[in-house]
Amino acid sequence: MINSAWHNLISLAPYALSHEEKAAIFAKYGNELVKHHYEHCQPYQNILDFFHLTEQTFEQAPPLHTSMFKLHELRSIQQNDVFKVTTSSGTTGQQVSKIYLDKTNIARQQKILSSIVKEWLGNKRLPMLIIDHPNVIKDRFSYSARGVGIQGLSLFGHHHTYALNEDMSINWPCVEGFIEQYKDEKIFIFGFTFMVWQYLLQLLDKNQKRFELSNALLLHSGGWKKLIDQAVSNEQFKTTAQQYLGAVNVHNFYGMVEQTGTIHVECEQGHLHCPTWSDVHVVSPDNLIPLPIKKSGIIELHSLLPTSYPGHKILTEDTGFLVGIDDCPCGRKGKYFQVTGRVKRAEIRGCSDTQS
Amino acid sequence: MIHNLNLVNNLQLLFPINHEFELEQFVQQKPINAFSDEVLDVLSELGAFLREHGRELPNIIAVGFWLRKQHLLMLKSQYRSLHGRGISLHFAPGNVDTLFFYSAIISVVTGNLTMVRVSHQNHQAAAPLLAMLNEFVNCHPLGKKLAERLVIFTYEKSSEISALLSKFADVRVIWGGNEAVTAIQKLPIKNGAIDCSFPDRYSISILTLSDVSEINAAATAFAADVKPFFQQACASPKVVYWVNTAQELQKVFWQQVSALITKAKLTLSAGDSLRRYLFLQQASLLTDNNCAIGFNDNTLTVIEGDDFNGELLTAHPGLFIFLSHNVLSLEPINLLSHCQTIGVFDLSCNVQNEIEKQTKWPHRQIVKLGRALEFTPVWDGIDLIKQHCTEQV
Ligand SMILES: [Zn+2]
Repeated sequence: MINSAWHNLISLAPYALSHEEKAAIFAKYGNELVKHHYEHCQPYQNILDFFHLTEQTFEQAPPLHTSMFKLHELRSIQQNDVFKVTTSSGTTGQQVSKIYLDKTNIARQQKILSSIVKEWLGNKRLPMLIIDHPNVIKDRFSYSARGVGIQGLSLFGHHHTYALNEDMSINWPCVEGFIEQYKDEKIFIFGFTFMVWQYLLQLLDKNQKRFELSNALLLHSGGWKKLIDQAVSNEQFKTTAQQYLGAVNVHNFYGMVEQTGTIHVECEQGHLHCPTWSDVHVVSPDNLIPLPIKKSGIIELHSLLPTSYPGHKILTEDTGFLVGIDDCPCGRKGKYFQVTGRVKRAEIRGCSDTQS
Repeated sequence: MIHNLNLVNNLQLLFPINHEFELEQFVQQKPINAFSDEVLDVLSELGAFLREHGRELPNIIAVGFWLRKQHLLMLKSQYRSLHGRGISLHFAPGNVDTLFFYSAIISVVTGNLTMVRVSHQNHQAAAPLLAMLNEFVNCHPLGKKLAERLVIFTYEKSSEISALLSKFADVRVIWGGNEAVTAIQKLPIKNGAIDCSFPDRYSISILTLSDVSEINAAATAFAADVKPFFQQACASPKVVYWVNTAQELQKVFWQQVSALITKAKLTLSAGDSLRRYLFLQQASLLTDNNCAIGFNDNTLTVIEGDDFNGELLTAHPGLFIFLSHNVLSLEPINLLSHCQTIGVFDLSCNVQNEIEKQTKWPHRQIVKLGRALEFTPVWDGIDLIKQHCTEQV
């Protein structure tokens, strides 16, 4: 049974295994995972058969386009066993990804997330400031990506304080009270990149306010697209955060709702690191063949976590490049990489484009 | 009638440039007889001009050939004396290099006053031909005659402007997908005015090969039908029916088509590639019938299957993916109601004759393989010349 393999995997350290050691684990458990989904997810079986896989190995399995989770119901568990469906945050009118989770898979995501986050936060729960409004996690059964992120990371904090009101204005009494109470302790701030920029840092600037935190860690995530549109770089984001918040270590992380749990946190060198249970390939758009270090391509993400849905190997629409393997100056093992943007939407040719 | 004519200020004039466009004045002109000597002279002179100056651009040369006097007279001979209806308003895609102009020619040659809106985004494809049309107006003595009766413009998506223009139209020619067509059709037109609409269609090829010596011609013709617009035009085949054709011949055929596409340097963007992968991963989930990858290289992919339904065809992104179906006779071929063009390759002509006898098939036209994208005045089953005319009074 696929879930039993996890006794061995779950206790591994997040950044201790070399590339070879990881490859061996992926070969063994990855292959089991592909077989598991092939047997338990009929659509997945159809897809693999369509591509005439000579063997059901992790290497041969095609990485599923993330839109597959928007357009089709992909799950490897019975409907009765679905405990939670998480969705990607789409703008109105767009279809959202639906990720079907059972209790086991949720517990595993939490455990792995915990192992990773503790590497950065330490073992102790910290007072936590969330740059969002409390209603974002209202609906228990169906979480948005923002809700998933907040829910998952809340476990590492205490005295959870939501910094925003529902209309996205800053809840000043709340924030000021929190900072007054904890300004001498290490605190944990979490929010989506765009929310932190737009609704915290920009507003502090507008209101001519600054906080003087003495020891804070800001984790943020959720894509750069909106910030790239505003021409905000990662570097600028960091310095602005330090300018307005005080002594704060800023770490971006890259993750997908399709692979919740295995997040890729940016180290002190500015590199996103793969934890033990995930792998990244940068592939050529022409043939999906992995590209060498430093070559830009499409990011393909592998994760050993998904058992209740076939999200173990996905093709993102993000572009980036591998920076190196096993040799980041920060000392962490495994692959490290950078995300550079998103693939431009395909052009529509031919005669059906008269409305635009 | 009170119109908000200020909206016209939002028009970006593409032809004739450097002229003031006065909508009220333009629409007060009267239509003239179809195929009048005066118009045929202007158009055939324009044809000669395009053939001479369009050297690097085969599609523009093709327009030049279409405008040969001989060809225009041949068209004239197919119709009884006719008279233009009045104002013809065209909604054309800007991302197809010459379609907007073929659409316009029909209404100009039939004596109508012609307004063409090309789509605002991606109208760069239309730029080379537009530049040549403007040059013709500037340097040819007959140029002014064309500019009096034809105006081409674009504007940002605005149903208000489309509605204003529609009020003047005696004929509306609407190219586009189903949504675009429905949106325009909703806007009121004059009493007695008519719409010629071209909604989403799909097209097929029927091939029969009996010998390896036939492959070269078949592959060349097929590539001509799929290369333009990366197989995304409605008339480009998405489904290929093989009648009684050995698998080995099919394989060589696909190899040759692939080589021709590669030779034409039709490189997919990363976004195209992602769309392609998505469709291939979806394909088996969109149909209950068997389907699986047959031929596949880095350029083209053939999906072999028993039959192909509407869902599969709607999701099909072009980009050199072909749905291939083997049959022994025409009997199992099941065409959907929005089938447009059937391209045929059959040296024996037996299959071709059989196809022509299929009275129950819903297709709009049958052409020789390789000519699916050639513009004809009867398009998609609609006789554009007739629709643009009234009986001569
Ligand atoms: Zn590092």
